[in-house]
Amino acid sequence: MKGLVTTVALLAGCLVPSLLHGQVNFNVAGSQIQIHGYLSGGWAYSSDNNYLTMNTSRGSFFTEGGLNASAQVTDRLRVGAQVYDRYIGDLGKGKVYLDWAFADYRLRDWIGFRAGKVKTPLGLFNDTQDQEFLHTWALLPQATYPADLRSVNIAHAGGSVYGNISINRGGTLSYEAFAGSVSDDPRGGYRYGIQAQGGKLTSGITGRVAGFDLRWNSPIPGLMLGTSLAYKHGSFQSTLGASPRLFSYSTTLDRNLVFYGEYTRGNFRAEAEYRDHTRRAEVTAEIPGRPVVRKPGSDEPAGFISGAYRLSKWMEVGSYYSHYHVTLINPVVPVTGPGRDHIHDRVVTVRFDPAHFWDLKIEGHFMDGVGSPAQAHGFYPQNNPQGLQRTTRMLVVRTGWYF
Amino acid sequence: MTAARNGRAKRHRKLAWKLFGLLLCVSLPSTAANVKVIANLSVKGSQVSPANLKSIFLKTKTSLNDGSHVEPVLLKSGAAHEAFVKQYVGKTTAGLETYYRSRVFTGKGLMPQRFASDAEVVEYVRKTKGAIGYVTAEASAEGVRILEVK
Repeated sequence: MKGLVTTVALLAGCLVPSLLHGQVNFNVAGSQIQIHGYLSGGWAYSSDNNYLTMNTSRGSFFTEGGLNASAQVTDRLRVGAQVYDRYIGDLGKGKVYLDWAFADYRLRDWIGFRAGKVKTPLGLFNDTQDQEFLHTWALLPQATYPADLRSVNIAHAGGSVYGNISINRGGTLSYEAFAGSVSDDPRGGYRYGIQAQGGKLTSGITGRVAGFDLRWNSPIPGLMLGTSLAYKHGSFQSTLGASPRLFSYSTTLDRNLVFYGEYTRGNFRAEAEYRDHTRRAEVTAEIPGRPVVRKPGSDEPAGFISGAYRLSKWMEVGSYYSHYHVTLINPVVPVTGPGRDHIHDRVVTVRFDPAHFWDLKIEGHFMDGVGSPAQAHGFYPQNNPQGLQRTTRMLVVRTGWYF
Repeated sequence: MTAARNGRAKRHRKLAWKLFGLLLCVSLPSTAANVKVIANLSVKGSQVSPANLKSIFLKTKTSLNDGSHVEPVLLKSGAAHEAFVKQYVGKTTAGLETYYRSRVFTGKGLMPQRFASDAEVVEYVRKTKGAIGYVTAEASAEGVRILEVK
């Protein structure tokens, strides 16, 4: 009920500036300032398992929203920031996050610099995964964009170098190379996954990331191809189960190699993405004089393929297939049960756009498998004390306002 | 007999090519003729290439070869807007809107200036250094430079 009240109140609050669309742009001392925001509310109802830390088997409301301000200080310098808030089961719980905040200096078209908290480009949608109104789907393919891991994937505090290079008849190349530290989110799925294995953190999680994204807008009209690569490192200290003994976790390899593409022709759009995610770590039990080292890891290939067609200005239909597979190596806690090594999700969606600032989506999910609880992909033992079933069917109704 | 048939076939092929050429001449300018690309007088030259025009409106090109800053200006809706976006930007109007919004909400750019009428676009382009916009072909373009897309 609290989620419903929050949803209604926030949506009503967002409707006002949406209707006053023209009043969010103004000038101060010759610099153009724009304020934009969005708010989304949804309801998810699943047949069997509870999903994304919500009580979806009984029907659960969720919300998320953001508000940003940006200023064009000079032709080359722009500054801006966005705050973000979400209420998705135990994720976010209303905490206001600084989503991004940076200065952007564009020296030339082929080279520019961003410094501050910058969104991390990885695959097709990593940096826009919160903005449901930009996508056909109520929930993005969770194989590649798990909502529970949002806070460790979405942005980094550091910087990036970016640019666009025209290759004449060969189209254009856009690149962005980035590096920085990753925030610890006490209300995120990464910690939830650690808790799912009986871990209790005794320290914050420190993380850093570095990588690049390269996109080729080909000379073939509507065809874009891209690749991203990110290396991450994370470490924390924790206890396990009832034992008071400390262990420390440190990444030895966390590599995410992504290939993706998009093709649009008229009102039709097709997208596909493949990720090769490899994780290796070292877990050391802090036994004085006799540290015990274990080397767990996982291989997690994932991807999706989607198609969408806009039937009219106010209606779009689409479908995607999202594929996630996990192979655990030396797991700290053994994982058994049906569908523990994969999540395959077949999705159909219809999106309505009743106005230029408002969308409504109805989406059906047909999922097979629940993945591994340690890898934080939506299904957790904490929310499913009755045990996880192999299949899940879920209805998601979602609406959003933006200005 | 065969020679006469071949000659007739040759004439028919020629006629077909001429008709095809005529159709092209009629159809291409009719789409292009609906829209006129205009620029502030600070923008040098009288031509812009389709590739540069696309990059300017996708905001991946923010300066011209001489280093001067350029800024795209759009109509909010209408036939000219739809024709321009489809022909020169290569997106649907909804697709371009989504593109701009994705930049705004990731901090990669501001929403470009958009106006409801040709007169407002012309007025903004006239008084804004580096502004490049488009209006319907019949609209008055006093005080701005008309760019040929070539």
